[in-house]
Amino acid sequence: MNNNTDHISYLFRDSFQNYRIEPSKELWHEITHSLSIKQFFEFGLNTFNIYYSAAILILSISSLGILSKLTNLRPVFKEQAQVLFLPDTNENETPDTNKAIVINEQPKKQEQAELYWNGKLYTGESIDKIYEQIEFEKRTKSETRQDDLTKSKSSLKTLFKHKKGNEKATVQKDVPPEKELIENIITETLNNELPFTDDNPELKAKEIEQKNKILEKQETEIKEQIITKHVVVYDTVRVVDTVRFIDTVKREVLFPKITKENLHWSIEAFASAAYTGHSFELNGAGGNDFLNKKEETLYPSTSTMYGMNINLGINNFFLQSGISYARLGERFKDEFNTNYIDSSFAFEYIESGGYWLLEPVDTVFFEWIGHTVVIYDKTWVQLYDSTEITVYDTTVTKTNFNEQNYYNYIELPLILGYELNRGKISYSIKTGLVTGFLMNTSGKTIANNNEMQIIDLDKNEIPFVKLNYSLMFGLGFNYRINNKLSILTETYYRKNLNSLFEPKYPVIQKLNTTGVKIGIRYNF
Amino acid sequence: MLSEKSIIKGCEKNDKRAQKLLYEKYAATLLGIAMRYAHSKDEAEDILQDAFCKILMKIKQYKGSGSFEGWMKRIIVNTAITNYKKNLKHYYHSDVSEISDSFVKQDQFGDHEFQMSELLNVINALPEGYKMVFNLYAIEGYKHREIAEMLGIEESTSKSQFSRARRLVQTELEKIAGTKKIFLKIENE
Repeated sequence: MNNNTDHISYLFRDSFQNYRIEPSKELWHEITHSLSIKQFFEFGLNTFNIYYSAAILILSISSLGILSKLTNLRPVFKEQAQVLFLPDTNENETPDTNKAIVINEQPKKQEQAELYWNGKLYTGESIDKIYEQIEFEKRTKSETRQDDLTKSKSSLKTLFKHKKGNEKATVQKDVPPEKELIENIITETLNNELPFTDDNPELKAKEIEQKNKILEKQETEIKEQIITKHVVVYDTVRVVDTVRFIDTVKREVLFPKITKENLHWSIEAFASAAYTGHSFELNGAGGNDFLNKKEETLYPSTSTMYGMNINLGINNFFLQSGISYARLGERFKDEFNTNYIDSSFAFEYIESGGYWLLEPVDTVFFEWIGHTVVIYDKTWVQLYDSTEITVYDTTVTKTNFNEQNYYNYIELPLILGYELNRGKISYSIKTGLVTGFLMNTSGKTIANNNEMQIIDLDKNEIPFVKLNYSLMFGLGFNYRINNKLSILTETYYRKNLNSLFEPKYPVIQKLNTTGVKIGIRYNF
Repeated sequence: MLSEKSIIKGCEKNDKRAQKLLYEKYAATLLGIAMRYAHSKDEAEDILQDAFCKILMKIKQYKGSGSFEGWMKRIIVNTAITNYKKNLKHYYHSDVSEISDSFVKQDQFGDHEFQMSELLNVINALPEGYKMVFNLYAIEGYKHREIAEMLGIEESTSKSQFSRARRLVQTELEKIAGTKKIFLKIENE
């Protein structure tokens, strides 16, 4: 503070010291509006609100989704390039990108050998093991041939009759080219042989033996011709319409393409126990006493909810909607003193003076003076003026109210969530809007036109809004019992976006509920 | 009626009722201050709106030492200064170089009583820079060094501007007082 005491400064300082100008009526409304916007954008633990929570939740869901997609897709693209040149397509041919195989998850590789021999597909861990198996079969077959040499005539006949009819060996529709090649070789070999003659059994036996040798020789040659190959087997492959190159793949990550294969439906039933609190504020000017009385008499209480939801999963994201019955609780407590006044008549005494009352009590004669002296007893007599008055006897009767209020809603949620699966356990975060249709209310409250009067919490008496919107977010933890059934648990928080009452009601009341949900989910 | 302490506590908890009570208690006083820095009531209300939002958002920073009203007044003055700096380029800069700050004669209006609106008009008629310095020095009681820091000017500039502003104010007040004397004389005759 400066020490400026000149006349002009003093004049202004003195004049403006208690200068007041009443602001315009709407300024407070503008300040509260501006304040709510500024507080919304001011980040801090004290100002952390449900909107921030929801924004962070949505951001987290999006980030998780994008990150998980990005980390998955980079190796996928690498594998995808390999898959494009799988045996279905020759190297000289341009791959049909419309029918390419895309692997959506990191595939597990394992070496596996395949070999076609004698029209039969052998698979095994290595080509040596397949050879061992074939050798074993060949030995078995050879022994069988020797044993059945004499009795195999008819079967051989059948075989050659079959061949005589110039019918090729049956080729399965889906056999690979290698198998077809082997079949053709065997068929041609057999067709070049002369047919058996029934006349000379010994000759026939020799022929058979010779034929077997030829066959074995052919088989050996065939075996040499067969390309023993090592194939890579992927445990998860999926056919999609279009192969995408890196740039396109990145776009697909941000906006995952919805296909029938990555959509999954589920239905769930749940029950929930919750704790419901509330917040109050004045709706416009005035009504402070009513607001105070509301705040004094209403207390948080327990709530329950039951319902069913349908989930549409798109990869890890899911959309949820359904129907539920919410019984939101509130405790009303108040104490009323009722005075009963009873009147009766009585007298009121007012002192109005008095006098001395003299009573002779004795007489004494004094001889020496020759006089008789009378001795008096002196008493003051107080006089009262009596007035009849009315006496009121007041009896105070206390009435305690302790009522459970309920707001019953049918609710339709619209929720977006993200679920992470880890074996039998999955975690989910979700947020969304819950629209509540007010069904009925019960309990007690104070009358808005007389704070001393208790009235029923009746929607016909109080202007409730029919539709109430809440913003919710939750964290879920699910346990998969089997492929179809899961047990779900969830903690959630939700807050009313609008008041329970219409704008004409002097107080804005919003409920906020924190609860735990438990239920069961069926996956289609 | 809640005490000032209870109102402050309520505002710290973002209690709407307490905020409203605080507004009802101090808005008129704070608007009175803002009026001296603004050109119109609308502009003053804008300043008050900004300042009140700051007060409610920063109320936890009030440590309880010193007057709460004084703390709020400092906020509204600072908001007015911010508003002045923000609008500086839009203000009309009148040429006041001819005003001498070396000669300050004894004022001639004596004990004349001025109305608030007259005093406000006198302040509002001052060039922007002068008005700020005059308000801060003559009425708020800040020192020239503090004013120089607040406005981002030299201390000497603050001194000279106040001197010139004082001269202008004196002239204006004398005019008003003189005019009133003439009217009074005519009425008496």
